[in-house]
Amino acid sequence: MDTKLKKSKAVIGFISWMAGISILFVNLVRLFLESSYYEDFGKHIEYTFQEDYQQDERFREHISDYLDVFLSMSIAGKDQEKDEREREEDEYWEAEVVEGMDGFIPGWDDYYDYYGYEGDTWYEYGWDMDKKTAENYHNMIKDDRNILYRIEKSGTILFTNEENLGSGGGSAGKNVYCYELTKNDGSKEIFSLPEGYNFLLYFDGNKVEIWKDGGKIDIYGNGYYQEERGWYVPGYRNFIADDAVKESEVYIAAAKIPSIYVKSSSDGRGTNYRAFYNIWKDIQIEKSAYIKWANTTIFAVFLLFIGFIFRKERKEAGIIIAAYTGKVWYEIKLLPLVAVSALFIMLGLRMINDFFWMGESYIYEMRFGYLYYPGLGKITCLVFFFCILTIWMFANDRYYNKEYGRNSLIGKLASLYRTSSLRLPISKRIARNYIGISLFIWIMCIVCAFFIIAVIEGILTAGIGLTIFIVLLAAILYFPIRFVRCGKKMAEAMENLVGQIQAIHDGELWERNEIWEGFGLSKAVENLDDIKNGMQEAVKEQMKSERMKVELVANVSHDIKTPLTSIISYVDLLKQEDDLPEHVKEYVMILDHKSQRLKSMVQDIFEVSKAVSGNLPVNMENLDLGKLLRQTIADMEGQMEKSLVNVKMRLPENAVVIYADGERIYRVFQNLIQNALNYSLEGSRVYITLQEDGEMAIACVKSISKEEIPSGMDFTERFTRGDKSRSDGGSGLGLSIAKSFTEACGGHFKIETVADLFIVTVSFQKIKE
Amino acid sequence: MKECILVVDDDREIVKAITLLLEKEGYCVLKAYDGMQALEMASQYQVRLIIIDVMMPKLDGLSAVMKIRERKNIPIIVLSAKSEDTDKVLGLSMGADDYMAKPYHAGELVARVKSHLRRYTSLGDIHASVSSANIVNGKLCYNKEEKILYADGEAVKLTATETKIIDLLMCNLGRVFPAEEIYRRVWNEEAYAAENTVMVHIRRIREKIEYNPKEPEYLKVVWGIGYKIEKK
Repeated sequence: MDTKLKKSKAVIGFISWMAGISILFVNLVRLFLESSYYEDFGKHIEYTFQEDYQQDERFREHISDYLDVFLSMSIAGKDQEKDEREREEDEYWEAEVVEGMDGFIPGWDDYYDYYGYEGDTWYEYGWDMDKKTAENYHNMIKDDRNILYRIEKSGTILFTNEENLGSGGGSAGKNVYCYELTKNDGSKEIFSLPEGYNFLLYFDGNKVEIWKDGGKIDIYGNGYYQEERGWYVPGYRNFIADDAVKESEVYIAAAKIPSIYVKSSSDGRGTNYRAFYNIWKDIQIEKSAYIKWANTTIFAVFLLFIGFIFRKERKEAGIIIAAYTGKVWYEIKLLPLVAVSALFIMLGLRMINDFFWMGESYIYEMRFGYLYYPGLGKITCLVFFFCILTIWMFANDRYYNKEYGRNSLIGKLASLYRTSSLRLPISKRIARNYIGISLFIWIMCIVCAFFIIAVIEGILTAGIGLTIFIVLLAAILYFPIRFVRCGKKMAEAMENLVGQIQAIHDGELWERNEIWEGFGLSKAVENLDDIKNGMQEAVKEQMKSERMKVELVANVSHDIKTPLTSIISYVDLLKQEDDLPEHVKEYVMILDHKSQRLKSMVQDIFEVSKAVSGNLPVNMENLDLGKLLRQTIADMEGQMEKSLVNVKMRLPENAVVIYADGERIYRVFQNLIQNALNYSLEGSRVYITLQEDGEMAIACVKSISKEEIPSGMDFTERFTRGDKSRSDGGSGLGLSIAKSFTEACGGHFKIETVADLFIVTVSFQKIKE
Repeated sequence: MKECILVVDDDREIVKAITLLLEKEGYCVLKAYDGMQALEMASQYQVRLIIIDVMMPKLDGLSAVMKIRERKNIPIIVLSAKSEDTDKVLGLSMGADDYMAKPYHAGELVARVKSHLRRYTSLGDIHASVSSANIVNGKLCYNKEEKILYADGEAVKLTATETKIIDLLMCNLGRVFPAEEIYRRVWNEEAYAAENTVMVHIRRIREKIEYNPKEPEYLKVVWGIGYKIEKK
């Protein structure tokens, strides 16, 4: 129920909004037409609503014409002979030409009928009128009771269609107007109009006076006649009455509300007197049109108000409609829009054209159309309604469906092509790109060649040639730009990929990869991401486990040290006992020896674990590796002398400077030499050499192993020993410590075995002094 | 009068071993097994020196050292299983006078104890004997004019060559001398196999002045460069 209400609200709001706009639009157009038609539109509206046809311009024209004719009538026949001759000519002209013309120009009479001008009242006036013509004319118009007239000359009444005109009672009453006239000779006369007549024109031989609705109207203004407005009557300074009519007096009264008078005649041609009625009727029509205009405008505003009230629902309706229209292909949506815009453009062009050729009368025509054919307004309104509906639908769709390109026929085809090409491997796609470029070049070459030939041969007309030229130019401009952009995109994607590989290589594992959409490499980037994540995990895990290992070793070594301290302390105490039996003293010596070894082992384990996990603090400085070796050997001289091997040195005299931690490197060589002393064949020689090889300082310790060296053994592995039984004195950490310390100082540590020859190489980057 | 030494460690055997060691040297030993106890003992008795462990129940060694330092100006030797440099720095900065790593060397411990006591008691304020002729560096004191080296206030017997080396190194504390230079300046000859010769003498001097010649504190080798006496 609620949703239904909401739905109807939306529909009502939507339709009233649109309808309101269209009605308002049409009314604005009409307002524009009307207001530009009338010079003084406000005044026009005023008398239209008063239904005062006497204010109309056409009324003035008629009255002026009547006065003109009446004045002619008043002096008719003043030159009888001439008149006679001219009349014959006129009659001949009439008979031969005008009557004939009647046949030749169809609708001639209709035209006059239509515009309310009686043919008779129109063409036969003038100053040259004979008495007969005047009489005829009087007979013809006297039955039109919309105007009453009295034509006098020198005080005698010549023509009148109301005998009692002016003397109807002499007193003003309801709907009866009495006017005081001032005659030419200065005498005054009360002139009363019959009931239903409110207008009086009086010509006194020089000038005209007009009364209307009991008041006198100023007709001369500043005294000069101007064509645009005003009464075309004599009496202006620049329009003085002819001397011939000095004696004439004319009274014309007009009905307040005109009606149709019909005079039937014996020849069957009835006369319809409706000139004033038509004016009045026009005003009636205008009035009703204005009322209707006002009503529809109010209605339109009301509709807009409803639309405004339901704007929320309207907006929701817009969203819903957009959801529906979103499914429609873009081209289909575009079609009505194109039609509407075409309509508008055509109409606009037409209007400009018409206005240009017809000028003011175009506005008149338009206005006339709207005034007399109410259907036209409705049709315009309806057409405009659908036009704005179409435009709105399109705009609404564009507003809510941002990705309009996706749901278009062209877009679909393009994406179909793109997805099909996405499935291809990258190499094929790149190849396809180049094939595209090549094809383009070939096609363009061929087409241009043909085009040039065609132009030279003159096959093409100028228009077609120009069109093709423009199309070719567009293609030449457009496609290369596209190719370049495509290539650029691909290059960027490649660069991105390469950059990411570089980043991983540099160990920047914690930076997010951007994934480039739409360009085939995204898969590669994703894979790379996976690799990176895997590495990240592994590194994290490894760091964690190393850290834990160091902590473990630190704790364990501490825990071992405490009991070891006691052991060593008490062994010391035992050693100091003098009265022990000899064999017990021997046991104590063994205890002492082993406990000391245990002590050094614990320390070694701790250090090697630190070095391996990268937690070894190093104090780097420039030092002479040769000197260090000499010092080390001097330091260990005692041990060397005790051992059964000969130590030979081959050290350069000059300084071999490296950047390392002296303490650590001393430990490295101490271990290496210790190792060599312990595990070398008795009587063999141990060579300690230092060489400079370009940038590198290479120290070597070469010895011949006592035992057979098992092949494929990693000596730097922790707890690896020359002899498997581990019965000798080493902790098994010597080489491991040496390697760790060397690497901690930035050197390289290498062990080679050639048969029983055991070679340890320690190399460092040399520092130039 | 027997000098009284307080030994603090949560490991009773170690305390006992140290006690035996020190009593043999003729000291009176007080025992404590945790930090709180150590504080009590230190305040109750006339203690001349304290040997204290770091990791102990109730109150750890370093905190105890800080507390004792608030009231007493006696030598304190920290004896700990933590042998890292950082641990040593921490211990010394907390107010300890010396730091020894476990497992300790019995002779070294006794030597250190003697040294500290001598400096604290019989020598009194070591700075009183400072004159322009004397170069004082830790436990070492070298009289330039007499050319006599004192370690813990006792004159060290040195040969003529050794005295020359000491003279060179003590007059340039902290400076590193390459073996060749030492050789040239001491022997007044061009260096030949200098490293070995110098090293032999260095080793001998160490045996006379260091607590533990294998881990020298004063006369040090700067590997790859030369030799020096560490400035304390």
